[in-house]
Amino acid sequence: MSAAAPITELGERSLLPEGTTFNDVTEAVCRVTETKAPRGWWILFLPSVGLLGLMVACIGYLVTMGVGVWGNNSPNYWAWDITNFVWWIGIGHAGTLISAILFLFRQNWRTSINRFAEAMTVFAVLCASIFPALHTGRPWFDYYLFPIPNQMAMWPNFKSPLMWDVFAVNTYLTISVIFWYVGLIPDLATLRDRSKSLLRKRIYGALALGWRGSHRHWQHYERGYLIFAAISTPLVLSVHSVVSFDFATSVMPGWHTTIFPPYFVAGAVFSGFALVLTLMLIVRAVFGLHNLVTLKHLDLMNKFMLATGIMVGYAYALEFFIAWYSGNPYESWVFFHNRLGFGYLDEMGNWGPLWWSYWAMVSCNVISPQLFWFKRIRTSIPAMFVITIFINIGMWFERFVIIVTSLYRDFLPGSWGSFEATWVDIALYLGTFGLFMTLFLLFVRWIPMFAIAEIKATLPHAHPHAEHHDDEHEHAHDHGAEVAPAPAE
Amino acid sequence: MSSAKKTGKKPDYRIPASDVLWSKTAWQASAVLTVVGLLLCVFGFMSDPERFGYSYLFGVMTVLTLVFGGLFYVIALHFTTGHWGITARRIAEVFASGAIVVFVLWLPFAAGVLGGKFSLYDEWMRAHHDDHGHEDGHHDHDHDHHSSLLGASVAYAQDHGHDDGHGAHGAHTPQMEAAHHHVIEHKAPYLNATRWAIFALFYWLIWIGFSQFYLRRSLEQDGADRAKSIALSLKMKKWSALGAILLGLSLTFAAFDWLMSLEPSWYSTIFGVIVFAGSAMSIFALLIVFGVSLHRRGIVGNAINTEHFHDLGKMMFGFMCFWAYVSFSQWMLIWYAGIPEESTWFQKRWDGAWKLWSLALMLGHFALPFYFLISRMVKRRLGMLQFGAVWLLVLHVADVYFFVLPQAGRFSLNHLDIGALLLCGGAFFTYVFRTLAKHPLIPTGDPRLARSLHHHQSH
Repeated sequence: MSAAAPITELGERSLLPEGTTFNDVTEAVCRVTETKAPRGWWILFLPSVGLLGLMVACIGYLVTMGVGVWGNNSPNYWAWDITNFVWWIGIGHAGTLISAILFLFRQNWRTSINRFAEAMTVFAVLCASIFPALHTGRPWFDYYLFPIPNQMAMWPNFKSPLMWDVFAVNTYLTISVIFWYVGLIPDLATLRDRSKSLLRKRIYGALALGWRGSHRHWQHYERGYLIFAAISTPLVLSVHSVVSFDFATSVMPGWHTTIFPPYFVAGAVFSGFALVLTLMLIVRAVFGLHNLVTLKHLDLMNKFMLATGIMVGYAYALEFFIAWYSGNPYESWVFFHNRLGFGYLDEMGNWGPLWWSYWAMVSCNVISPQLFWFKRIRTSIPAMFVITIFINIGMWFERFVIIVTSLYRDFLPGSWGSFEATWVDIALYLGTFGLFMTLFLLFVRWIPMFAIAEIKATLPHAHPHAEHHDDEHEHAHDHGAEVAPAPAE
Repeated sequence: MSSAKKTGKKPDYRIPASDVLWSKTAWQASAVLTVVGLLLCVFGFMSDPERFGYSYLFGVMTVLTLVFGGLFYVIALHFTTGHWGITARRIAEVFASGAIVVFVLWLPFAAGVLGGKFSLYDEWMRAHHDDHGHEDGHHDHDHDHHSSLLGASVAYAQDHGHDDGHGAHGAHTPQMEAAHHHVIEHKAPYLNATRWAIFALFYWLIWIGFSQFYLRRSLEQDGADRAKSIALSLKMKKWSALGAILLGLSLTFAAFDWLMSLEPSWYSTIFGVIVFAGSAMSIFALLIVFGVSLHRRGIVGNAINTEHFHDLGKMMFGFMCFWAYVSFSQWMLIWYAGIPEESTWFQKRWDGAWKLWSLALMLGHFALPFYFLISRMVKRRLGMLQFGAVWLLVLHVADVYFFVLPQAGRFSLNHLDIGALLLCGGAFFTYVFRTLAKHPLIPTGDPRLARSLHHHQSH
């Protein structure tokens, strides 16, 4: 019996349906880029372009009128802008986590989702960067953020976490793009080799950077991939940690707490997985890719969300406990009055008016993923679709809760305010979905959205020892690499 | 190659009686150290019970973190159904099951604390009826927090300043002291002896319960037929989710109750995560130290081989980095914000010789081993890897020391600390060596064992 074969009694199953061949994988993935787009693609694409137009219009309006068109006010100097920034950055975490960290942990199931998630990472980080760029008020001066010698002898303040953000996000974007592209090379060569028209052949040929699939190419590729995975891994943690520093280095109650860095990272992975899954379910249905993304993949992703959801819940609970335990009345005020709506009442005997946003966050992020304890829910497409949307909403509220409910009723009752979003807030946020979805749908149409070569490596016949394994426990002789590189076709 | 292989028999992965080091010398040496430690501890308890309380807590926490590590390894391997680590799992199960020994070691500590012999937690545990108590009737919880908070931290810093011998003695006014106690009083619903004791019993129930469950089911699996073995694997997996959650919570709150509350006005939400990170790193280091020796002496044959050590080394490296990440996060956020009642904890650890200890941890627990262990070559040369693991274990002990002893005042590494470490470490390892000698050293009945034996790195 092969040691690598699934032990069915333990509930193990092979990742892809039995009998899937290398050719099946190539066909399923390449077909999407080679045939006409199905109607479903156009149904998604046209509104996305419309929303993209809305985004451009909103940015134009905002730049013309100034940030006053947003709902930000005193004391809510940050509101939807930074909420959306952190939310999008968080979405951009799943990609690199899946491609780098899960790669280092040899989680083979990642192969059916990594390409897809990496692309989402790149697009999400682009969407995210719009908000801090605009919130400076005069975005044409944003180049001040970079250490470029200028006529005014101005230099960035490197002590500011907002500066660290600029570098962390840009580094992350750069490495994510390179990593994504390196992974694409063999698959682009596959598309090139299958091209029927000269134009297609030229374009994919140029993008494939002369990939011939020789042994030497594969060796460099695998080495490079491993090194990029190792470089990307700390970046997954550093980006959202630095984003959390934007808040946690301050002395604001509700922002200043030491668990913020790992808590933000866990939350980012949580939300990233949720959006990957939401879109994966749609794409899988539109292009009929059920054999590449099986229920087993979906089940594993749901378990991941359950685990990260519990971590996020742990952080919420500890923040609350320590808010009380610290004995700091301002901390308690933020948590009990501003957020929970329980205990601390104001002079009029009221709860903080935005208490519902906290409860929206808890029900979406902590309570709804608990349904994933049940296998029936983890393997039910409609159920997981709804829950992932809940998680996306909940994670947006988490950032809103952190930002606005820490600010709106602060130290002095005289400076209290509340927050109401304006139409520009809403339209700009929706508009970034347009940007994201437009890029995403173009990606799905023109670039292999699954890592063809990597999926092949997980198939049983890619294993050199798949057929003959004795059950002898002692194995003195040395084997070569466990996973043979799959041919690019 | 194992001796079993030479004689042509299937290996049973047991420590042979002919291996004197593993079957006798190891546990006997540990037992001797236990006795030496015990004598030092008795002496310490008689001569300086106040200081000895801290030393003893350090000893208990050191071995307890190894138990945490063992539990984490076993539980995580079950819920991720990873196969790479199965062959090393039995050793981790034995470390985890040492929870019972640590419980016995902990009992005198609890008795000392609750019975008033050890004064580490007196600031909150006996706040109401000792000389710290206040009769000023300053009880209005709703108002006046504003002034009291700043006062609390100042008073606290000064309280401890004079422990170190160079604080300003007369500087803290009665108001400041009152404010400080006001903050401690606020925490009384959590920080009180009854709650402390009841929670502790729950923690021990979780740790002992899960560690026994996993060791016993795994031993039962050794001799089981296939159907039974599958059923046991599924059962162990089923309990692992609950185990992970309960371990996470109990570890966090035990860290709060036993370590963080040494400085009751101080708080940090990430504290439990830091204790976890160190514990997780230490189990991988221990498995490497033990495993490499067993492997070299042919006791586990090739069942734990370079491929497994390479993975264990990666995990040790990873958790070392994670420890650095969370420790840095805690320090950086507290340093950057500069809020007095938060910075006191680090202030103490930056005072006098403690500063060197802090620097040594930064360098020794992260910077140096980072460059040493990052190389694939080092992780696959067992001698070098073992050296790295011993190094990190020593630094892990130093890390636990860093949690506890700065609270006792000025830096003085004394015989009581060594005595407590010898007693706790000695007793724990006596148990570990004795238990390892009784059972097969790898879980021979695990259905996924074949996969683990054939495990290879692809890069």
